[in-house]
Amino acid sequence: MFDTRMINVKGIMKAAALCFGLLFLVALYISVMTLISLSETPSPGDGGGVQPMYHFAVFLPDNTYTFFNELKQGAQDAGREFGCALSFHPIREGSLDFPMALYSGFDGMIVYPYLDEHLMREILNEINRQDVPIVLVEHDLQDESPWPFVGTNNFDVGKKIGELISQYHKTPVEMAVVYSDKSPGIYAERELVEMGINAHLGDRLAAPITSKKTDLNPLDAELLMYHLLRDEPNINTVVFTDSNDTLAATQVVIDMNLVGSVQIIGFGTEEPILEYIEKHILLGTIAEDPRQIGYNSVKALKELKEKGHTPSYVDTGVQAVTRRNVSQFRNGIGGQP
Amino acid sequence: MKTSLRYQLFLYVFIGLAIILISMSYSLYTSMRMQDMMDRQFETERFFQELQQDVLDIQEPFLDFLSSRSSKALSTLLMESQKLRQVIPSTYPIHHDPVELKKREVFSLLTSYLDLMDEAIQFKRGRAIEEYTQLYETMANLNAYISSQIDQISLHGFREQMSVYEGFVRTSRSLQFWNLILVLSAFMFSILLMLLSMKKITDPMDQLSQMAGELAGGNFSVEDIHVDSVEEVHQVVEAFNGMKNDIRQYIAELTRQKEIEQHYMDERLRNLKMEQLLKRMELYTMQAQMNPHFLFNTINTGVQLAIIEDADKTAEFMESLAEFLRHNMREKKFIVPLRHEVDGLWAYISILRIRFPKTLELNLDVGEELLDTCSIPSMVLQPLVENSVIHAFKGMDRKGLIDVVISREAHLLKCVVRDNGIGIPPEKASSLLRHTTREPEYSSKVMGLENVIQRLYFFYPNQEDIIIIASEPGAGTEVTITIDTREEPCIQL
Repeated sequence: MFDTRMINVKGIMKAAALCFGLLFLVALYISVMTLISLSETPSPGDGGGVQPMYHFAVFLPDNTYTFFNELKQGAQDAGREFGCALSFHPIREGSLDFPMALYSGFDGMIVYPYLDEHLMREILNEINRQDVPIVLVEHDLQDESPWPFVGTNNFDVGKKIGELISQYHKTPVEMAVVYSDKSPGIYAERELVEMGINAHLGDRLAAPITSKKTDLNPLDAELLMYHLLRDEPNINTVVFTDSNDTLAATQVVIDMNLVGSVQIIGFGTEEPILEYIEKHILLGTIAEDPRQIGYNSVKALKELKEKGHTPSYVDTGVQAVTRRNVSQFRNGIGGQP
Repeated sequence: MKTSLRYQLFLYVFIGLAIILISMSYSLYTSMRMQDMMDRQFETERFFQELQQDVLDIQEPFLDFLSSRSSKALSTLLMESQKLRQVIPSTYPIHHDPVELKKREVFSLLTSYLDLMDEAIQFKRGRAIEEYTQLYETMANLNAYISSQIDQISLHGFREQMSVYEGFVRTSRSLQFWNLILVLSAFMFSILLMLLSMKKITDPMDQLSQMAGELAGGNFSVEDIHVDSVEEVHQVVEAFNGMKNDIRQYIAELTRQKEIEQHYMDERLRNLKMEQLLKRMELYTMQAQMNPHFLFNTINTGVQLAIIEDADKTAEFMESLAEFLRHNMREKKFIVPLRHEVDGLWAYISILRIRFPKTLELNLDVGEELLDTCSIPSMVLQPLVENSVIHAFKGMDRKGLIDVVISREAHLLKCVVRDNGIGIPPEKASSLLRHTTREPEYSSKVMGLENVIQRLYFFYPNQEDIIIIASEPGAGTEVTITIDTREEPCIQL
């Protein structure tokens, strides 16, 4: 009995020692793993894709609207695909980012020409003298420029607007086009847009196109729409050139219970805009492809950097989305209006 | 191979302490490592803060030089410029990370700034006032821009650190917890290891103590102790086992000698008994031979007288008596042929038939072939018949019957004396069959039977059932002598 008790005690002690030994090893393993995970600080350049060879700077207006976000997304996709690191910089009045770009050591620049054209051209020329390749996006400089352009032809935008109106609006058209600081590219080439509209509608325009403009205030379009409906009842078609303005103005029409009294053509392809089209609140919307603009701009810049030349104009196209093709558009098929 | 106690104690204590020491050192190392990691997190921040200050500071000597053109200002400017150039990496790899790209931009801006500064110095030396004035303006903007970019880097870094700080704290707490478990388990493991090593030494001692108790109680048959312990303990255990086994062997030897001595004593006692028996037999013989020739001559005279007087029965009786006496006197040997014994028995039966013609019937059945081929101790059959005549028919009113049957079954010679008398009580029969020699004064009328029994035991000591008494009260007695003819009696005389 004495022996049995002694053996039991010894067995328990051995089992306990084994348990603590295992616990020691487990604790050591977890501790070492934790320490390793703690040591593994995210290493720079873990952006995925190909190791970048070039550092390209993208100068865009300093706002967060969908258009620019999608353009950035497209550019980043191309950057990862083509091995180009992208840094995004604001381009605005008073900002030193663009004037100092010359000294920043970029391998190339994608510029949305947003500033005063004279100043813009001066800086671009200076950069050009340093043999830094440049690609312009969304809209071109007015005069002749040596830099490749990637974006939408705003004349085509105007033509698409005209097509849309002619298909659904049979009466003489009295229309207003609402430009915006939120879409400076279209505003800068508003003449081209209106030329496109005129070219398609021609005599169907009962009156010259009325131009309106909103600023960066996201609610500005509401007030403008309110005034249009109240003060200019003769206008039966309103065209917006910014998605935020489209949404804000449409909401006013709904709130005032005036859906159908005025035909609204929106801009952009946000989901609420597509829903408004399906509900016949909007006649249609103009869909550019900012992702393609961003993607093709990086692609063109890399080509320019490596080969010294690239197509001077890359048109990413524009599409009119109506109730007929909205579902196809939503599914990514596209389709004719 | 056993290790020494000193070595094993040192080894276990060393291992235990080493484990504790290593675990605590590891815990300390992880703490220092975490501090290093935290330091590294802020190292970049410190670097850029210092860089920003240096960039801002260099504007002052630059302006001094441009405004005064003093060599001291130039010297200071060049030193500051050199200092800044030294912190700029020669190459800075391109990454996708925006902060890393921003840092790359800052270094490019700084390089451009310093290049412009060299250019401005040359303009100043060349007194190109318009150029260096314009350049100063550009450089001031560049300086401010660099500063703002560093601010952005710091802000970005701060935000990034804030985002990872919570995770870092959580992970470091987990690390500290597991380190605590590590140290505690190491401590417990070491303690148990040492306890086990001590137990390895103390357990054999406990077993030795237990065995010592058993030996003290006289139990030397306990099993040997087998232990897996240190060399010293192993030696003690082996010595203890050896001592126990030696004592056991010694005791066994003593016991064996005592048994031999006892056997010797028994043998001696047996010899003494045998001598006593021989003396008694000698005495009986002497008594039986008391003046036998006179008695024999007298009986012969009586036979002749009976013949002369034509008393045939008397002559026959006297002749049988003379034959019986002759047989008794003539027989001096202990072992005789069966014929001699049967002849004597016939003479005795003839006497008895004459004495008890009506009340006693005697029968003797023996094969002729046995008479000359078998031997038995002398004077064993007649005393048995005599014993039956004297004791078996006391107080009995029917005719007495005595049958003597001598036969052979294989190597066994069987002599059966059977009567139909009153029988012998069981306790009496047991008493008669006991291996003993009664004192002479205890002799009784059954002394003849006892004499026969003890002589048979004496002659055939290895045959326990040499004589058997089967008796039932009122149903008679049967005495059977069974002699193994292959076994020689211990005395051949």
